[in-house]
Amino acid sequence: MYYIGTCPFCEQGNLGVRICSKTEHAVILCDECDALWVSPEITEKPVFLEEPNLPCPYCLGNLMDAPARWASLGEIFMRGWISTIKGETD
Amino acid sequence: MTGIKDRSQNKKIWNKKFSMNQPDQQQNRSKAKSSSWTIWIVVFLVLYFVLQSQQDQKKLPNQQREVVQKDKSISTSGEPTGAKAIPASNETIHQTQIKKNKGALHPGFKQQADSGTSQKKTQPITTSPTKAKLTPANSNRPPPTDSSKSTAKSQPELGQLRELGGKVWESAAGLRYGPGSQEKHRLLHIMRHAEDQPNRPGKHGVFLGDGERKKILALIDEAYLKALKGGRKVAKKQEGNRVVYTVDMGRRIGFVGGKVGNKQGKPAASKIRLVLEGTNVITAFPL
Repeated sequence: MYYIGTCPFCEQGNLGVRICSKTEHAVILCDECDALWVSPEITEKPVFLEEPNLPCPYCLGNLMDAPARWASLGEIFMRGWISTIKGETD
Repeated sequence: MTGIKDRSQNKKIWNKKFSMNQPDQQQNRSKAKSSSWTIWIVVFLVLYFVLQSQQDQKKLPNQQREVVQKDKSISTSGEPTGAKAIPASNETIHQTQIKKNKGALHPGFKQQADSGTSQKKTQPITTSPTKAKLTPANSNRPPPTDSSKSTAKSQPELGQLRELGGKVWESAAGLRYGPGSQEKHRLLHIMRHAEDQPNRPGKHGVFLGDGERKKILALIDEAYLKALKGGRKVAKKQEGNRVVYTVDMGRRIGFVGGKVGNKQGKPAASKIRLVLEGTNVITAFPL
């Protein structure tokens, strides 16, 4: 998972780029507390989607079930977010 | 001379009278004493019975209230309701647990639930101290110490879970662990913090407890109960329906791992952070 930083809400989770299951929308999701941002601008307040499926805020897909996934470097690049990436987790 | 004789005769008569009257007065006194004693005893008995009946009347509404609360805390589907059922102390935890157990079957079969039919999915709760409460006492002297003793004996241990259905598990403190997270279940997600992930970017809180789930869940339960009590050692942050508690446990409960923690020599962690949605656990970890 490529991450853009540490979650400011739980202060422990890593924020990854998550691709939704239906229309491949990309969002920023905390891997610890599921806090969500619609862009890498994480200075805004997070959004908390309905548990446990985490429905995509843009479409009828969700962020939990396959083919929802952590974005690849190419997918992040395509969205213009490559500069925000701090590293990759195991 | 005659005068002197008369005087002596008068004295004799007086002495006779006096000696005759003395026993009467003593009898009267003793009668008065005994009657006053009987009056006191009667008054005492009347007061005693009046006080006893008042105490009984006070207890009866309490019992009725308990039964009503049980009915309220149980939804029609038999599943326990959420935050209202959360107790603030161990004793009340136990009582709510029992209430839930009873309600899981049917509100109309509360006493049968006590007999153990609800134990299929429940690990801890075996005996019910409230059963004794619900049963009308034959004696006028209810033994309050007995009920407290039995409550302490049958309290579920922190960290124990019981299944509520739908892959949702409830802890002794009332926290719920259900489906969710990348690990597909919150219990699995919590167990990520049972061991270090030295290559994880940033910090990774690791619970003490040798990776035993029960010990970790007991710590989380303890932290949650402290969080509910509040105080200086509890910090609370709320964002929508999410609540983050940071609870200072006052002792070492883990260490800080991950890349950052390992660089710092795995410093001790004495705080637990709980991220909750109502009573649903999203995550919990030491820091």
